[in-house]
Formats: sequence, structure tokens, C-alpha cells
Amino acid sequence: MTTVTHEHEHVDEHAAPPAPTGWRRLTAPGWLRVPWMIVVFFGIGAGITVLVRWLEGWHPIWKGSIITTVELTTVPLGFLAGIGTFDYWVRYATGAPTAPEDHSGHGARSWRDYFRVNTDHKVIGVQYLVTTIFFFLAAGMLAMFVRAELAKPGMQFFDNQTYNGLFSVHASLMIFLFVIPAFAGLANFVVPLMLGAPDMAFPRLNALSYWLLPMAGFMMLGSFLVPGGAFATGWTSYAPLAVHQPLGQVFFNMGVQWAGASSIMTALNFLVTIITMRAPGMTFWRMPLLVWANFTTSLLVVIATPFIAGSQFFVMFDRVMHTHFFDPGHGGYPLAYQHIFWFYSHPAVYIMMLPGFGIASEVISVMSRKPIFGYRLMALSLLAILVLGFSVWAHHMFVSGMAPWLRVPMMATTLLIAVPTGIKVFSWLATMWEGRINFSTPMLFAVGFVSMFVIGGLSGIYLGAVPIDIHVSDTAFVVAHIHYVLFGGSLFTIFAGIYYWFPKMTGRMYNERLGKLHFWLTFVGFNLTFFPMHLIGVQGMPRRVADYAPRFADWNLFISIASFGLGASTVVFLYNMIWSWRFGPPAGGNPWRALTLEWQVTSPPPIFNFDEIPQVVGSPYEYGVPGARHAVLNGDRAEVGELEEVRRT
Amino acid sequence: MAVHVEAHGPPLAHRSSRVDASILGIFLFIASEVMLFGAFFTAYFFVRVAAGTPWPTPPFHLPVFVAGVNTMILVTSSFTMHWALQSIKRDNHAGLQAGLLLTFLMGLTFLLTQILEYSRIGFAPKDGAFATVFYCLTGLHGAHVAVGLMLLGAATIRAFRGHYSSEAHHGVEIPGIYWHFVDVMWIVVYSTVYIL
Amino acid sequence: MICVAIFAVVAAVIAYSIWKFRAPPDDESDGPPIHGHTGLEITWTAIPTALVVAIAIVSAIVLAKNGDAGSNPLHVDVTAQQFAWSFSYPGHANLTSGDLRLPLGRKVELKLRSLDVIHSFWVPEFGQKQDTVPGLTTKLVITPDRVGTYPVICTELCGLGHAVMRTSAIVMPAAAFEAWVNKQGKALAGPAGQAGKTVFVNNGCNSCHTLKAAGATAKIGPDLDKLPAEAKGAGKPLDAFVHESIVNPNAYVAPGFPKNVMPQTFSQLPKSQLDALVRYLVSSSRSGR
Repeated sequence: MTTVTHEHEHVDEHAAPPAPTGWRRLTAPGWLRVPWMIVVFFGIGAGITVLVRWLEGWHPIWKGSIITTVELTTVPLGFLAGIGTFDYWVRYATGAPTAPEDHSGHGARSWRDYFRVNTDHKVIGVQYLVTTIFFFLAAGMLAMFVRAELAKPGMQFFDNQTYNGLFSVHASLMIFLFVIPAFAGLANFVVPLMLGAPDMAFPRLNALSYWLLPMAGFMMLGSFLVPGGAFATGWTSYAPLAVHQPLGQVFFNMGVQWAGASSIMTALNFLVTIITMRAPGMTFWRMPLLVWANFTTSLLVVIATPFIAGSQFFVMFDRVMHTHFFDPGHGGYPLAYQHIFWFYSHPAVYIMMLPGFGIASEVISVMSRKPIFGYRLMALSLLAILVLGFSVWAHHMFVSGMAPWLRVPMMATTLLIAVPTGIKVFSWLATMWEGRINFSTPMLFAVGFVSMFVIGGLSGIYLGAVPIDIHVSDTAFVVAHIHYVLFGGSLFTIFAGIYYWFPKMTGRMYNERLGKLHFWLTFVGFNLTFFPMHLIGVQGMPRRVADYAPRFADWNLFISIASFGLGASTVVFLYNMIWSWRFGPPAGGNPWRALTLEWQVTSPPPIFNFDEIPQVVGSPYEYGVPGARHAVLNGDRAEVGELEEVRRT
Repeated sequence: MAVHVEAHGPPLAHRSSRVDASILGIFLFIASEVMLFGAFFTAYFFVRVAAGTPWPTPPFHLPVFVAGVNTMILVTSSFTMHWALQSIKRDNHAGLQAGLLLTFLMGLTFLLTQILEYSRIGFAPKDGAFATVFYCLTGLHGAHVAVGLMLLGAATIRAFRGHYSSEAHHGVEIPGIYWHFVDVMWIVVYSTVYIL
Repeated sequence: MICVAIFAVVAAVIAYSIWKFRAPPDDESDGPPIHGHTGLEITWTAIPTALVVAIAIVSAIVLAKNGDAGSNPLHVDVTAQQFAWSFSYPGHANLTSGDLRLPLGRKVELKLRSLDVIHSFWVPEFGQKQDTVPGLTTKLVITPDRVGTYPVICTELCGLGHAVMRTSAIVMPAAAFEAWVNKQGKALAGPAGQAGKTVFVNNGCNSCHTLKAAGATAKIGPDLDKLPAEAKGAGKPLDAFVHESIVNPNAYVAPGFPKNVMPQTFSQLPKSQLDALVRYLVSSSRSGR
């Protein structure tokens, strides 16, 4: 808020402007402006396409597939313009005097404010989380369909193309619309608070990056409705196959662009916020590990995400403009896609994992009532993963036919990543050691995460070793591995984070009994579902197939039944969240007796987080140190000096 | 959620870095843009080096000279941009306006020349991998010029409405940084695609 | 083994912590303020580093061994396309087969090509896997050491028929392999019906289509026993329709099936084989009714 606006003064009065009436409601930003803006932008997209085709003499002038591709760019822009994410910038660009920030779009006064463009990072965080949980449920439902089809060999409910669409959309939604943005949502809520900042550095950009997200999600879900069905090439969408697929493929290409743009903007915002808006005294070595985790993640996002944007552009150009990036008959190179794609998508694994490390560190330290073990090494291992993460992409391509000399170096770097990851696991264990552990739901999920992630990491070592990888790549073993890492890893930490900060976000406590029930159902269901996949994978069950050899029938039936149980456990979670949000007992400001800054304000936090920027005086994890404090709020400067003195001696 | 009626505005955030937030923001954005170009250059590498496509594939030719003149125009526009920024730092509004307008016009000339080049070059994106990479790299850069022009356009309009001063000129500085990036990127594109 | 041990240690520590360090519900005290232990941290950095370096070295050695084809391997050219495998033996007059037959105990060097998209060749029992990439020739060395019939599976998603892109690898004693080679050579030169059926099977038509006479039951593409009805739908004489549908599959697409799925590559079959195939399809679809 304070650092973006350059040319206008800050004013203190910020009463909301009077609500528009009559026909003005149609031109004011909001849902009434959305429909006609979409129509206008649809017209612009179609108009440009038709004009260009007419000028160039390409026939037919009106071609559905081309129009659709262009509309996937312009219609979302129409939506964004309608809902009002661009209003300020349009006023600015046309040279109109920009309104002094009146904060009318800041903070939520009623539930309706969650459906408007809002610049408050706390509102945006909740918007993110609710949206991503919606897509989590949708993608989970698709997984249930997948397991239903796989319950028996042969074809049951779907044809091949539909089945391929089901798992492709499942994976894409889970990755691009759930895991990545759910972490962004949690961090959006928590990071400015932890830093002692009143908001993110660029609140309007923050709002825009949220509103891009539902666009991307509905685009991917909507692909089921187009002729030829949903995109069916997996979330990896390898060229040249993706170039020759039905129209639904474009919905993936464009959906990834929107989701990617959203995550780049958020990451940029986090980086600037973390670098320029830390409270006084909050040196880098006093930042909570969650902030460290989001700092490294954001660096990964900013650097790597453009590569997936590139790869999807190439596929789309090959389709629409008949270019030849991947067509060897015309000088293209098919493996280029995989190199470019994995140069993003391997770091993406860490984009989906590092914020989880941060959440686990917070939860484990607070719930064990002990300082985090080896704080600096924990932060440095994040940076090590960041650096190594960029040098391992080709381990996804050991059997792809790439240059053989790339194999051994990539294997070495891949295996080396186990070292910083191992450091983190051992440090969490050492943090728990001799603690006074409170096994609340977030702690259960955090401990569940550590144990499951070790399995995922160890199967990762198998996959990292080339000779073994050659055997099991593209089998159910890989499916098991990825789910141990992303479900047992990312999803468990997301749940831990949601339970941990639920009292802070809503001001109410969730139901502990239901939370524990949810954990145990998830934990057991998850292991019953995914552990057997290791076995059948090694025995020869490939992945991404609707039909399989009869000898795997028993295990698959078992897995399907377990997966339905796993799916059902989500109902407990939903019920708990919705019920507790409305009727839960008031939580108080600091139910976990945590030291980090977000717990030192009321629940939910005041609209501008702090009355006065706090003064940080020590490490965020000084549990058990007598008299230690992380920060001093509301400006008792004398106390600050005293504490700094204590710390120095 | 509970209703909060706030009694005052936000507390001023602590400035924990000497770097200004929006300057840092634009540099990070440019880092991301460089990586996007990186993806396109990777495709260039695979087509030209790994697949060994002849460059340019006969019978096509690249208009090296015309593009060279165009390069000169773009490079010059970087200097006028710099002049505009230096002017406003000294509260010279006429210099700011002239500098921005000149930069904008030169950028526009560059873009139009590029479009003209496309229409006369004699091959289309579908004519083999060489044409593909040529159009996509220059096209990606062209799209960045277009975005840069939009930013410059906004800055120019505001400059003529008298919005900037020696104290407040981020609105000139940030499009300027972006414009220099677009310029440097063109030199890379020009030397790899046209000359090498 | 090492992995199991590591997991056991981690699980044991977690279990012990859960049992030992659980705080009573009303305990508000904090744990001891241990911030770290340099020696311990160095230990658990150094030991995993040593372990993974060892794993990397062993893997690199195994990898180099696996890739060694020896001095006199049997060469087999593998061609993958949506959604069929075909194998040809350059050492045996380019004999082509729809399943992979290998003599026992001799090293085999496979050269893999793809005609359309990326596929991946995998025989689980051989423990080896290699993608086939259009425009590239990839290699794989295997040594079949047990007689038997094993599945050949495509493990790279290649389109709607990916799940059924399967055939068999049959490892047979050297003498039986020679006998099979001779018999195949004769079949192609034999009467039209037999040659046509061999072409049909060797080119993998049976992996997508149903044809009773060939015992094929796949359902990716149209049912070939219904060819006469389809020809009527297209308004063409049966043999011209069959020929056109093989060499130019998009000319007429049976209702309910997507365009661009049937490979266009069969137009490159030798003319004698193509004619035999057309005659075979015409006669068997007529008699099938």
C-alpha cells in the first residue's frame, strides 16, 4: 500500500464511496459489468481473428477452432476488466488523476466482499484457499472416476479418450489450481503478518493474480464440454502428441498460461514484500522459516515458470500457426519440448514442496515447544534445493532418447538433492526430540507429512538411479512416488497449514475431534491407496491406461476401494471447516502460544494488521528460553532497547 | 468473519531495503521475461544446433541490412528515453515530453518496419523450422515492443498532463527500465537470428 | 535395503517421540531450548552425501554394462505408431512381424523408430525401457535369458489407444526361432488369403480393429467385419473403399470415430502387400456376415 503509490498523498479518511445506483451499477466494477464486458471482449477477439483471416485471404474466414483459441485470451481479459482488476491502471494510463487510495477495496466487511476485487492480503488469502479447495474437490472427484474405471480390467464406464481426459484434468487441476495456489493462498495470508507489514508490496497486483486463477481453473474444467472432449495428454502434455489432439488441448495450453501468470505475479509480490517490507529488527536470519520457504519458492517461480509458458506457446503455435517446433519432417526437434517443459516442471516439484517445508517447520516447532533444530542449516538447505533444483530436469528423461552423456551428471545432482532434504527431515526429528509435544491436528498432519515424505523421498532415490528408473519410469511406481511426494508431502502440509491458521483466519477454533478423525482417515486411506502401486508398478503395471493385464486386477480393485475411502475422508474436513467457521468457539489471539508475529494480533487480524509496525528483537523460535521475545508490539521502545541488550550479552 | 471498523489508515510499512519496491519489482519482472526469452532461445538452440537446420534455410534470405537500420532506430530510442528521465529529474518538463514522444515514435517506427518486413520476407511461419523460430523470436520481441509502447504511451499522456516532477518520476523510470530491456533483448535477437 | 533402514530409523524416532514426548493436555511448559548441535548436523550431512555418491557410482557402472551390445548381437528394427508395434529383422531379409520373437541367450540390439508421436517400448520382464521418438533412432540392448511369452507395453501416453498398444515378446530356443523365420518367409509368398492375414497381423491392424477372420477384437477403430455396410455409407465399391481407407484414412471417417487417429503411414506398404491386404479384408468381411 505504502510503497506502490508514488504520485499521490496518503489520506487518512477512507470512507467507502457511495454505492452506485441505477444504470451506473452496470458500469461500476462488479458482477453486473462482467457479462457485457465479456461480450465486448469476445467481439474484439472474434473481430481481430476474422479481420486478419479476411486480409490474408485464409478460408474459411470464420473458423471455430481458431476463434476458440483467441477467445481463451480475450474472454478472461473481459472478465477481469468487468470485475474491476484493471480500473486503477486504466485511469492511470489515460492520464486521469488517480483517486487517492481510499481503501474502499480493502478488507472484508461482509461475505459479499469476498466476491469482489479486494486488495487486502488477508481477504485474498481466504479467496485463494476457498477457490483452491473447490478445485481440489473437483479434481478429487475426477480421481474417483479414474479409480472407478480402473477397478476392473477392461472398459467399464468411460471410453479411452474420456479416461485420458479424466486423469489429465485431475493432475492439471491438482498441480496448477490446487497445490501451487493453495500454498500461495496460505502465504498470502500469513507472510505479511509474519513480516510485520501492513499488506503486500503491490496489493492491486495481488488482487489481479488471484482473479486470474478461477479463469484458469474453469478453462481446464470446461474443456470437458468442447467437441472431442477434454485434453487427454496428461499434465505433461508431450509434443508431438499434443499438437494433433482435439480442441480441448488448447484449454490446457491457455489454462497453464493464466495459472502461470498468476503464480509469477504472486511470487514477484512475495519477493518484493519480503525484501523491502520487513519490520525493523527483522533481519533475514530472524525470519520465520515459512518466510524463508516462500522466499526460495518465489525465486523458483519467477525464474522457472516462463519456461512452461514457452513450451505451451510452442505447442499452440504448432497447432494454430502450423509452425514446426517439434516436427522432425520439417526441421523441428521433438525432444525440445521435454527439455523446456521439465526445466520448469522439475523446479515446480520444489515450488510444490518448499512452502510445505516452511509450514512443517512452523507447526513442529510450536507444537513441540522447542526452538527449531539447526535454524540456519534449515534455511541454507532451502537455498541448496533451489540451486540444485535447476540442474536435475533431465532425470525425467532418462528413457527419452536424449543425449546419453546427460544421464550420469543428472543422476548425480538428483541424488545430491537428497542431502539437503535429509537435513530437513533429521532437523524436524531433532526438534521433536525431548519436546513437550501437543498432538493437535496440525501437528498430526505435520508428523504424517514427515513420515510419508520420507517414503516419497526414498522412492525418489530409486527413481534417481538411472538403471532402476529405466525399469519403473512411466509405471504405477511413478504414480505412487508422485503421490507420496505431492499428497503425503504437499497436501498433508496444506492441511496442517489450514488447521494451524484456521483460528487466525476465522477467529474461531475448528473441532479437534473431527480434525483428528480426518487425519487418521486420510493417513490410512492414503497409504492403502498408494503403497500397493509401488508393487504393481515394479511388476509391470503401466500408468495412464484405462485397461490393463488381468493379473493386476486384485490389487487394482483393492486400490480403488481404498481410494473411495480416502475420497470420503474429505467430507469430514469440509464439514469441520464449514461448521467451525460459523459455529466454532472463539479462538482468541494466540491459541497455540506461538511467538511469530501473526499470533500477536487479534483473530482475525485488524484490517491493517498492526496499529503500529512492531519491533523485532529476536529469533521467532525461542521456545523454552526464559524471557525471550520475538517482537515488541505497540512501541514500547524502552523495552526494545532492554531486550536488544539482553540478547547481545 | 467479524466486522472491523478501522479508526485510522494503515501504519507506514518499514522500509527494510534501500531498493525501492517498484524498481525491484520491475527488475524481477524483467528476470522472468529474460527466462521467457530463454525458453524461446532454447527452442532456437534445438532447431539450429541439435536438429541441424540450415540457417537461413535456402532459398530464404534475411533482410540483414533493413533490420540493421531498424536496430539503430531502437538503440537511439534508448538514448532519448534516458534523456527524458534525466530531464524530469531536473524538472525540465519540455525535455521530458519531447524525449518520451520521440522514444514512442521511434518504437512505433521499429514495430511498423518489423510488420512490413514480415509481409515482404517471402516465407511464412509454416515454412519449416527455420521460419518457425525466426517468426517466433522476432514476434515475441515484437510483442514486448508493443507492451513497451503501451507503457510509454501511458507515461507520455501523463507527462503531457503534467503529472511528473523531480520528486515523483517512477512513472517514467519504470517504463524506461522496461524499454532498455526491450532494446538490449533486440540486440541479442538481432545478432543470433540475423547475423550469426 | 539402505532405504528401508533409513525409513525404519525415521519411523522409529517418530514413534518413540510420539510415545515419549507427548505432553499431557494441561501441560503449558516448554521444551529445553536446544538450538542445534554442530557435530550432529555435520554427521547427517556427510553420511547421506557419502551414501548417494556411492549409489551414483554403482548406478553409472550398471548403466554402462547394460548398454553394451557385445560383438554379434541380433539386430531388430522396432517401429512404433498409433497404436501398434512392428518388428523387422534386417539380418533375415527384413522379415516383419507384429510380435517380437527372440532367440534365447543372444544379445539383441533394438533400433527404435516412431512414425508419429512418442511411444515407449517396455517389456517388464527384461527390465529395460526406451522411448521411440519421431525423427530419432533410439537404441536398446537386451539379453533374453528365459524362454516364455512376455508382454510388450507402450508406456508413453500416445493417444486414445495407448492402453491397448500391446503385443508379445516371445523368447524361443534358437532352433525354434530359425524355424519360425523360415515359415514366415514362406507365408508372405503364399496364397493371397494367407499373405493378407500375415500383413494384417504384422502391421498391427489387429491392435485397433475387430476382424473375426483374424481373431482380432480391438475397438479403437471401426469394426472391419462391417466394411460392406461402411462402403455403402460412403457410396463406393467395397474394394476401392477399402483401398482408400488404408492409404488415405481421412477421406471417409466412420460415424462415431474421430478423424486423424488412423495412421496415414500404411500407404507406404509395398504394393504386393497392400493388394494382398485389400483382397483379404474384402473377402473376409464379406464372408464374415
